[in-house]
Amino acid sequence: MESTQYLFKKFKVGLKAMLSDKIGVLGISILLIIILLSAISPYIFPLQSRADPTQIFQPPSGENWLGTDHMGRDIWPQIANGGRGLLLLAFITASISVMIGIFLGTAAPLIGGKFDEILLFFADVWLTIPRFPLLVVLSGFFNLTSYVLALVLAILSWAGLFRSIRAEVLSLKEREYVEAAKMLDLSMIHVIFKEITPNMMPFIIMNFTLMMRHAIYAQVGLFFLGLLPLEVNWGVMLNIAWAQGAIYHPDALWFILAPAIAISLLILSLVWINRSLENLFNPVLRTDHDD
Amino acid sequence: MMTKAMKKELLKINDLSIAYNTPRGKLHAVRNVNLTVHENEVVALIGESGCGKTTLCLSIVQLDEDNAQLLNGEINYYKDGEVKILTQMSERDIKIIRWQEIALMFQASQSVFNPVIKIKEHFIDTVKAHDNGYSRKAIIDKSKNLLSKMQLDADRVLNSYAHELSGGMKQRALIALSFILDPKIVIFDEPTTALDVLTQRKIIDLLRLIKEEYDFSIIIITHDLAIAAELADKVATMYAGQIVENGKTEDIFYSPSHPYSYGLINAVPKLISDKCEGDLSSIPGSPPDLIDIENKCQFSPRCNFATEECFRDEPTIIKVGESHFVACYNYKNVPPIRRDN
Amino acid sequence: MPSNPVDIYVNELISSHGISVEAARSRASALYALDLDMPVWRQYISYLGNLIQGNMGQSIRSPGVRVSTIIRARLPWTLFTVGSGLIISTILGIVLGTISAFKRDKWYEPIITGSASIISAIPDFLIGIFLIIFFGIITWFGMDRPLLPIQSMRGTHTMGLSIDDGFTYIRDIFAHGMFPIITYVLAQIGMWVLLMKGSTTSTLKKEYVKLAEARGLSNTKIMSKYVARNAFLPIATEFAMRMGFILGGSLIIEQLFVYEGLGLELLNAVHGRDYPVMQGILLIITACIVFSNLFAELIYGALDPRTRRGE
Repeated sequence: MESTQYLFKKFKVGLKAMLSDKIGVLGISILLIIILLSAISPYIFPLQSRADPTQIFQPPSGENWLGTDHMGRDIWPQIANGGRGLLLLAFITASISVMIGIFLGTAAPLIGGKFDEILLFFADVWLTIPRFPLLVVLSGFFNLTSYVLALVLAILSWAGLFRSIRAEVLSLKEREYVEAAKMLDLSMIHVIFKEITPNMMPFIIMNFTLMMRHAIYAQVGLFFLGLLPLEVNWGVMLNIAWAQGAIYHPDALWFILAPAIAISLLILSLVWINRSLENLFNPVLRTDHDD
Repeated sequence: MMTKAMKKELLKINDLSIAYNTPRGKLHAVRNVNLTVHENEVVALIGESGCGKTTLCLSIVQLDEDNAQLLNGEINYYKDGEVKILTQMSERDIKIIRWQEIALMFQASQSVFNPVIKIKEHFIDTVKAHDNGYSRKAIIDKSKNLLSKMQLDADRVLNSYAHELSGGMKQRALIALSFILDPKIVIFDEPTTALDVLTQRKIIDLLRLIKEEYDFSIIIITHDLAIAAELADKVATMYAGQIVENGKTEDIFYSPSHPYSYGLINAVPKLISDKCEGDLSSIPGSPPDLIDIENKCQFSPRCNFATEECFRDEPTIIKVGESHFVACYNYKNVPPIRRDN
Repeated sequence: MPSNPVDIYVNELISSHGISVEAARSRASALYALDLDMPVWRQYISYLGNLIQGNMGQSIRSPGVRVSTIIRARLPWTLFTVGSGLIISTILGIVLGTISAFKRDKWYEPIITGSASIISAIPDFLIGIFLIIFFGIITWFGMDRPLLPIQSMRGTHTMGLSIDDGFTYIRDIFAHGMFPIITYVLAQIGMWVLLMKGSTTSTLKKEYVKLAEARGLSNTKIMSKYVARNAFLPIATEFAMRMGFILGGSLIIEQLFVYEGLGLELLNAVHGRDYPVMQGILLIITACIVFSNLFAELIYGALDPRTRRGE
């Protein structure tokens, strides 16, 4: 298909330009390392489930790269395996939310009328919802599993993207080539996917990374507060370290620092990728609001 | 317009060269430019974008970008028989020259007004900055007078914010603003781009009207040759940072001596002759990179008249007629413009 | 529903006091003034009815205590810490952002911008954890104990002190609020620096600034009337918007520093399934956001004539 080819070409050009941006390269590298670790760790660094009371809170060594936890287990495999769940869930959340955003954001201005008005009003109301506190309260009512959480997070965060895409579509609608396409009697669906979506791709990608960030924050926050079922991930590690009083235990420094730094790196990589994308696409996205 | 008898010199640019420091090296935006503006004269600068017109005009009021560097030459401004060297002035002194003596209006003037203050504040700020002892009332009266001359509803415009005015209105308000201190020279950088044809027409008519009433000189940068032909006494063609041809308007338009001027003038579709017979000749190729400048005629790769000589050595500007100068070896081969109507 | 608060209470009564289900239910019913035989939705409707009259009900965990009383006790602490954090970070951010916009060729500019972009990305609670580790846990070289006695700085104020103690009290609440406030400052300052820098840099490039120079205006005038006024617009809006999230952002931080504000109260309510308290706090948080959105629009209208209508 032509449009996929076009997207691919645009992607290639974008990637090339991004690789010339140091911060972008750093961001991509960190993210790739985390993805790689998530993929290979179950085989190379399997989790150690057996507690070893003789090895509690050991400092880093050749055997335990990051030291040991409150049960004497090696911390490194927990770090290596602990990003997978977060990343996957963030990806799913961002995908769902972006899809909702694109679908409603293009549909609303194209259909127009009452439909558009109601959706816009709804989105405005939606944006005033205090997301994190609501999630905390919801986790008190329901048992939020990973996938339910992804869905809830996505539903909670569609409104921002909806508004941006709607605005973008409204302005694109007025542009000549879309007018031209309409005059050629091309269907609206065609116009959306062939003309409008490729033009908003940079915007959507940037929103995607932003959404992933929010999802990671929310997840880690809920895990940290102990409001989600326990599994092995960085948020839970923080929670356990916290609950075990590790933070007031100087020997346990590594146990709490390791996941904290890992989470920071993951979010930083997304921020840097986002910033580099922003620099890259700036000429496309820049709008002058003076008039 | 007719050129009048011997005029006094008002602005003289001598051998001016300006370069931008870029990561790739020095970009020579203006190269050895000589240009004189006389009292009450209208000079048009024509040429493609990126040929140094805007840099040249910004340097007249010393408003170049931070990375611009004066390589050589100077700009002299004559006032009451005194010479002021603009290129060597202190920031404080040049501030006095700006707008009071030389008003520079920018390209794409749609966002030239501060969006959060009213138009009248712009008039007041300008006058107050020059400390002429005007009262607020006097400034408003003068502004109203100028705005009415620009056929605007003066009271409404003064009390409006920029976003409440149309593009054409903003442009006219800006022209009125440029005359608030009775400058001797007004520089218009693309005064009509981004405006529709009717509005363009109106702006040009108003400029002519106001020109008849006041004594001042105009430097107008434009790629709309119709405007240049209509308003200017003198035309200077710029290419690759140089003035390649300079002469009276009728000389340039009817018997251009530089192939580039010839190409620019021929590129204008002649709508008057409804024949439209494929005479829409544009100039192939694009301007050269101004970072690595080779010693040759910069236009030669795009020139139909180029000979071997043109690729060997850069031509210097020579006199080819009464106040008509050109930098071309083969100027004699450039034919006059055919006029069908 | 397994997480019904009354069920929890009833189960507790049965298991700890060994009384019958019937007896436990009747005790719970009397205690909570709930008709347990009414369907849940009818109970909810009656809750909403009370709410409209300004009655948010009573806490389930601490029977007899009104939700509004709890909120009134907790709210000032959260407002104090998050508010101070917001104001301090905005002021510092404006200063640093302006400096980095104007001194783009100075050596310290990349340091300001770089740190701002890193720190703005790190989640606030991690900043809190890093702070605790840095000041409260690690015994730095050459010292015999950590920099600050973090354990005794928990809570909102030292027990027994009250407003009547004057200056001692003020010093005490600042000492206790210090860590949350510093965390809020650090968590937001990067965003303010980047926003202010971006806004100033883009304003400096505007044609009206260049034209103001061409008009011979003094630098002071250009900076105050042409640059600052425009560069400040996004800051003002963002500030007003952030005011709305003043309460919602405090959850994890208050848990971290055991600071008894609204956020910690909400968490305790969630853990104890105290629905009236949960709903009451959520309501206050939402109301805060709605009001600050209105406020943001008012501010923007006042500062930016382009958003005004009907003139």
